[in-house]
Amino acid sequence: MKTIYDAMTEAIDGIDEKYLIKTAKCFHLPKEDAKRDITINSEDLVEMKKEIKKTNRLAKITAVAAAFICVMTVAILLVVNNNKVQVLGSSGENSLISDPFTEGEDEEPQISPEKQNAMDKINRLLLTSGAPTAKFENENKENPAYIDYNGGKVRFNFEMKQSLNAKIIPDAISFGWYITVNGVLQNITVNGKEQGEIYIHRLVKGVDYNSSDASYSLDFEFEPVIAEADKGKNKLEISLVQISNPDFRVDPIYPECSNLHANVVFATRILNVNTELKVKDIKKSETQYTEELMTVDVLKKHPEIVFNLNSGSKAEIIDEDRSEQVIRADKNGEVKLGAVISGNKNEKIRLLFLVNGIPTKLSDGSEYIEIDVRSGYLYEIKPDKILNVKPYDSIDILIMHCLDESEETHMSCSAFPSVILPYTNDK
Amino acid sequence: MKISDQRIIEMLFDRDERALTVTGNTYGALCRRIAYKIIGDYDEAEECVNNSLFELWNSIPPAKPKSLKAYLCGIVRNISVDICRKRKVYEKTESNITELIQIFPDCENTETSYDGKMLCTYINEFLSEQKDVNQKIFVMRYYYNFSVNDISSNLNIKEPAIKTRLFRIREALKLFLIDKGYDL
Repeated sequence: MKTIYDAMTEAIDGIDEKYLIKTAKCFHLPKEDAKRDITINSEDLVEMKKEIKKTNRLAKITAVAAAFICVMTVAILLVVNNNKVQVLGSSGENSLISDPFTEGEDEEPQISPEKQNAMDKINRLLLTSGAPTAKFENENKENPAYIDYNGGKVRFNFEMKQSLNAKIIPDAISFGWYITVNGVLQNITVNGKEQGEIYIHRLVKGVDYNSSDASYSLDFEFEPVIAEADKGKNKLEISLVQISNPDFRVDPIYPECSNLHANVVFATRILNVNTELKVKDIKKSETQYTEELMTVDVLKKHPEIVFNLNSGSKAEIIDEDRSEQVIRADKNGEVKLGAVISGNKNEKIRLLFLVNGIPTKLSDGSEYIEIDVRSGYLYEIKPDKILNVKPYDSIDILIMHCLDESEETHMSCSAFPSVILPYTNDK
Repeated sequence: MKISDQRIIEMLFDRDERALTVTGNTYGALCRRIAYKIIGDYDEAEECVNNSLFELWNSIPPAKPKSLKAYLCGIVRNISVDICRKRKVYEKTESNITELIQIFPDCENTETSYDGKMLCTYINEFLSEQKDVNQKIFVMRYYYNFSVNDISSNLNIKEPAIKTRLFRIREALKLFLIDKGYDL
């Protein structure tokens, strides 16, 4: 006899796989983990290999024994049939059975020290984390989500606390920040120094941190500039975007990595404009895109796209072959990039391509792509030549939401960063 | 470079150990959160995630899951629950299943004739009749032991709405089980 609790636990254990798959799709992949990240250290790996070898050896012995019994059975049958006596499997030359203890002993993949070094670099970088909080001046007293702007500079302060409780402490870490106003990048001044459109903060082991935590404070300021299309609007969305490891460049020896240069919108505010804003001289792209209803069949073609009505739009980078998995340069070394965007909400978005964390231009010299996305539709931006991209560059998309009448800010999902691989004939 | 789940599965089939590093980098933090929600201890959660990766390595092949993420989360969940059961800490106070069994009249520790497998069939049938969002809330709450706050952040639904939905799901489950002949 069981308790109700036990019976219910057993019932919950047996929940159908389809519900688990559906639920797992909604799990956010935490880009930052305040505690620790996963590493399979070398000791674990050695233990793991031993276990696997033991299992493999047992399996081999079993298979060999089974094969031996089969061979002997067949041999006996043949002997009985032909009334002849034969010795099978005893000759060294014609032995049917190979030695299970020597075969494949040295088949373990050997990783060169250079490759191991490149792999370690990536693993170290991925072990870092940060959780900034921004305090703005001129916050609206009634609603702190609004920043009153009457001219001059918008100022805010970051208090950064970063946990580095990793087994391997990296030698240096970098974090970058962008500020956008309705998707338009702003020129940033940090701690009194002009930085351009991206500010990269570099932390050095032994100076800024030792083995546990790093904390620092940054004073940001910027004078809001807008796109021509936003002229006359008195409510605009400020997005604060953090990018991880902007200094890091992929090593051709080990170009397989994930989440490098990942960007995340970690805070949004609404700029309550009471004055005229400067218009930035930026060009909107005229690149073509298609709109398609997000049916199950369409989503099957884009497994990384998740339709979620409760989150902002999500983008995936594609290349000329419309591949989301491997982005490759073409024969001439050029790269054509497009994007697939899931319309999760009705919203206007602006996209910028980032190369090694720096915004880049499209072939027509334009800086951003603007799309009015509708909920439930999938958008595909036709791949276009991206300037100044070469193999092993990291690419990403900044996908920014533009504020509309609802005055609802969105933290749109960034694309999954990718690395350009050189052209191969296997393409 | 992004490594797709499909590619990771292929790497596991090829016995390429890098698959574990890639899986750990992609899903490590998520797995640890799931383990932590159930076990309540960071060190144990980390150990659980390492064991889960080892289990992943051992089970693929022959298993070829449709969704690596769901498969791995399931492994993490099961190992976490096993750890708790062995340590006898997966008590009523720790598990959200406690609130689910409130729909039964004799929800104390009394022994009963309820059949877990039959109940499982009914729960799956019940879920099939629920809206997508309710299915997810149910699984997150009772399978993964998520708090209302965690569900809220994963689904981007406000906490009071989650609480209301959970209440309605339990009520609907009660009616469903009565309909199936349970004396509730």
